Amino acid sequence: MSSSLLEMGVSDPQTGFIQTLLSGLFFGAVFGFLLQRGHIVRYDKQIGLLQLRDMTVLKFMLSAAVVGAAGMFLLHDLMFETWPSRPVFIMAFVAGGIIFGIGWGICGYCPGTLLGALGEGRWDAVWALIGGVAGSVVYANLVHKHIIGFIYGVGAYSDGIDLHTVLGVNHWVVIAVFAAVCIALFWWLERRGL
Amino acid sequence: MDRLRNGGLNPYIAGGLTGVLGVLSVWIAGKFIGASTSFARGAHGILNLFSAEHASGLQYFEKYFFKAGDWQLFFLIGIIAGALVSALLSRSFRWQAVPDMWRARFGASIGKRAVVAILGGAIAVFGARMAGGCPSGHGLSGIMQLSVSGFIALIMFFVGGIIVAHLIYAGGERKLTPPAGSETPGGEQ
Repeated sequence: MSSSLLEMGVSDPQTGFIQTLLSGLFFGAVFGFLLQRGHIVRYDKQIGLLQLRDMTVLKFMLSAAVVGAAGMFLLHDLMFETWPSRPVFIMAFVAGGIIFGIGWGICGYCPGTLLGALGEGRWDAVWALIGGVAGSVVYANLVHKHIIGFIYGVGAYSDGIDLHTVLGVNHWVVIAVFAAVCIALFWWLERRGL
Repeated sequence: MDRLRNGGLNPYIAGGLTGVLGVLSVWIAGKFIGASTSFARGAHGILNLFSAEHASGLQYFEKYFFKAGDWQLFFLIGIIAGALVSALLSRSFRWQAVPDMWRARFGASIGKRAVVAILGGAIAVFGARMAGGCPSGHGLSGIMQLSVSGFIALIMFFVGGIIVAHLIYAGGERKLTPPAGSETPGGEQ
């Protein structure tokens, strides 16, 4: 399986069904295991996060982000791995992000963690799952008719912007600063007992 | 520095391992971790069952069409399985219809929780598709790439969530306390 073919909505023609099935299941299972073990899937942790009382989920997210970024750019530097740059649509991210946040605060689950919640028996997540599919149906019906021009027209940078490119520095500078900021934040959170 | 609440895995370690996992999934499988795209594909699949003509007329599904061999779909099924195994091994599996914090604030009614969760889920995924992903797929994976998009999206997810959570839980218990009466929201300050 070629590792330089990265999917962003396009299927890799070289990968068979069984391979895709096993690969997806494996990575999902490890992710689900870590999410559950870390209690990230729990409603109380998600709402506690949004209430700024219990920052467990934030610690998890930022740790993953720092380690992940370092790993990605090691892949880039050592294995010459590349990936498509993500386009920026400021209006879509701001509007969509806030709308997501509203739903997140109401529901107490996000798309990934709700599946983990189901796995540990918290079956109210199935309602969120049903709602999530319904929300997608609504979005699909609205987006190209009503939304797309404004939401994806304002503040659009379709070529993608990376932080290190914008700042004009080596990516390791960004990663080092990001890591340092996160570590300082973690230290502060532990001191505050959050 | 370890804050192990109720025997859970240290979030720094769990998060760090997740970061490694994310890199491995790119390297080995050629896929970034994510979740919400499958909701869009699932929506296509379901809409197709009801009205194939309508579904095929929607431009959105030209990119986000249902496919049976979707890696992310298996990834999501894997999450359920992995969480189940972890819960059983750590004896934290609990068949529960209403989360503790919810019950303390809004009561034990399953129906009430269902309606709100459906509504919340719909709004959340609607927003996620507009934003081009959810915290895992756009936030985490985007930041791993050092994409400006990932940072913007994640910040906006939190802005919306923090405001709403404060509005919903305002005036209620700030800590999890046992419910005094099932329907009475806490008013203590």
